Amino acid sequence: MSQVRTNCPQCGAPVTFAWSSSVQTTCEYCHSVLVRHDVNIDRVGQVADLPVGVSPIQLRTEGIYNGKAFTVAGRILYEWENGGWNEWHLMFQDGQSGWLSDAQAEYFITFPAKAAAVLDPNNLVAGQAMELNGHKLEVATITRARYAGVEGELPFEYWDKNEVLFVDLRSHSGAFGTIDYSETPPITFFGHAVQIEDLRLKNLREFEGW
Amino acid sequence: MLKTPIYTAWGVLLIAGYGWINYKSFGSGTATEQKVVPRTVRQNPGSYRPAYGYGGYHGPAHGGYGGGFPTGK
Amino acid sequence: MATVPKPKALECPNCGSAVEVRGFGHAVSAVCNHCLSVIDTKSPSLEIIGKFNNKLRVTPLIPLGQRGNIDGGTFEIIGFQDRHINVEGTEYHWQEYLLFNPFKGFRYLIHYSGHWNVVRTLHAIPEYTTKMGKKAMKWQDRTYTHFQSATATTGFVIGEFPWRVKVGEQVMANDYTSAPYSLSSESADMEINWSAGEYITGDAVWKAFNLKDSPPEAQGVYFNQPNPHTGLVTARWRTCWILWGLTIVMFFLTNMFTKQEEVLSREFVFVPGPTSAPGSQASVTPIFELKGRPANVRFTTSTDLVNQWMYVNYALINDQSGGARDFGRLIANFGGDGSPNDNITIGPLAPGRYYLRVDPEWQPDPNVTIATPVPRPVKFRVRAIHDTPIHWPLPFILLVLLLPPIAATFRKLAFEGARWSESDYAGG
Repeated sequence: MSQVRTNCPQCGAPVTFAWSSSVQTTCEYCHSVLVRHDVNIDRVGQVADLPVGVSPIQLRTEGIYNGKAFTVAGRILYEWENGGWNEWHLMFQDGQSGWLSDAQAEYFITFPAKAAAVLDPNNLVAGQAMELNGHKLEVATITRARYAGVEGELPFEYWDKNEVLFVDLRSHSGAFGTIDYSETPPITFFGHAVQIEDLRLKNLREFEGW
Repeated sequence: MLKTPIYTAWGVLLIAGYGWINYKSFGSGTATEQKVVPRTVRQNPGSYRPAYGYGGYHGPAHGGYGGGFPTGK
Repeated sequence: MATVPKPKALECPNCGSAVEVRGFGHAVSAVCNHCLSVIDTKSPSLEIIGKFNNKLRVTPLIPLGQRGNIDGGTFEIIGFQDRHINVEGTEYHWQEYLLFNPFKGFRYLIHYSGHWNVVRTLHAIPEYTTKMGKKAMKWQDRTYTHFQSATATTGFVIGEFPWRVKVGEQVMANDYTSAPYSLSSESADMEINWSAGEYITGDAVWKAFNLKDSPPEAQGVYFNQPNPHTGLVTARWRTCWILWGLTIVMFFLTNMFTKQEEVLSREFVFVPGPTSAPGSQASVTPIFELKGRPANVRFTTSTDLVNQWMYVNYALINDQSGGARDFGRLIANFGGDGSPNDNITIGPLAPGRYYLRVDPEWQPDPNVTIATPVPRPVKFRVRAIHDTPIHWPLPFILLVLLLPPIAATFRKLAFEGARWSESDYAGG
């Protein structure tokens, strides 16, 4: 599947799937969630206007991580008891897909990873050890969140999860891991904390007075 | 060494002083100096009186000694 | 996408005053400057979740809204807290300024007693370790020694924060030091948060924020304040070893460039008698020549004295000028006291022809009434060595050279002593 240009089945506005691996996107005009099945486009739902938010990152922001260029293709906005955060879907130059976690100006970049053994979420203790990608990590936080909205191109079909259990793992070296228990089997992500300066971001949002 | 200019200068001064003492070849002990010793005394080792001052000359030297007389002039 | 607009000021639900919002959507709590009510900015009704006591109001040294160039970026002060710990009945207060930049996120400027730190939250978890027997944390190839463990209470807050502000909130705070850096942890319930800091002077802060007046003067030594004496200590010890080397070199040079020529070596016998007349055993040596530059002569007297003494009157006479130098040597050897050998260096002497008058003597002790036995005859050898090196300055110089680096080291240690006197580990 390559770049596909089509029209929104709901409002007729032009819709582009810029990346071949994207399974869904949102219509910029009517906020319909559109899922691609080869040539056919299905409208599966609609998202409310996402709040203005505080992140300097937006769709089409570009940057460099570990020497590889990426573009921000989509986003999931999560909400939990104490607030919300963004997971930006990154599409790298070489076709690889990654995630930029953006919460209170703290950033992590992770990629899907294979876990040796997956922890039982009901039996977890803070500080519990787990090995991931050759790194020793410790359980740091357990978060219950839900999807508050989606935007742009994402590599899967679902767009409205009501309950997502996340376990965050941290390490002594800045390595970071997340286990997403909303799927069976749970999906594991591994990556690192990043300083926003190091990503050399372009096409960021502008803030009044800054 | 450049970060400690005063200390370095002071140390070099001390070492230079050490060298200078050796160059001048000073002595360490005190020795009183007498400018001129009369000729007669030189020929008469026993009668020469050093600064400590004794009373009188008591005859030629006796007892064993390994020294000799000054060679003639 | 459109520019994110500056948030409108909130209306305090308690007193109606305008509460300015500077952190865009990050704020979770905002404190009304007028009535000190804590507002939950995420709740649609702007629920009030607390209120600070106006009696505990602290005025920030740097006003909210002030922007400064710090930690590689421009940051705006959007919040302020006054916190304290309680040690044996005394409260120790410090202030935290929350700095914000929409692209770089948050930093904290901590102020205590004229000392400042720029702090940011850590992503990684440091490792527990020890350093020289003390608790420590290791992070990014640096070891931070534990300094203090205490309960920190938040007494006063103004401005906005990206978390729920609780009046009188208490957390367990631990500080670790690796000057000029620091590591701190705050824990409450099950959560522990780590942050890393770097020491910065009040002058640097005032310059960064373009403030006109003067920063408060720093009192005492702060736990991660860099030791100002370290550089001098290293430099002085380095210079010391170089100077020591030069001193040793001078030692070898002086040995090399002195002739140390034996110009006289003669054996004498002294027979002490009860009434030996002075000068009765005097003799003169043959003439010996001192050649070359004016130099000293070391006269050594080696005897076989055992449990007795003798006094040798020496006169070094210049055969040409007639001038003489007198020196007398008392040589005594009794059990452990004294020595059978003696030496003295005379000089500098002009080159020329010299001879030595050797005049040994002994008297019985006039204060002793009973007759003292006459000591045995003494064999002694007189040597004269021309142009000898003078080495007495050597140990003196080596010792004196140690003084400046030792003094600097003491100052460095005194600074560290002052640093640690504020810690949990202060002796006594």
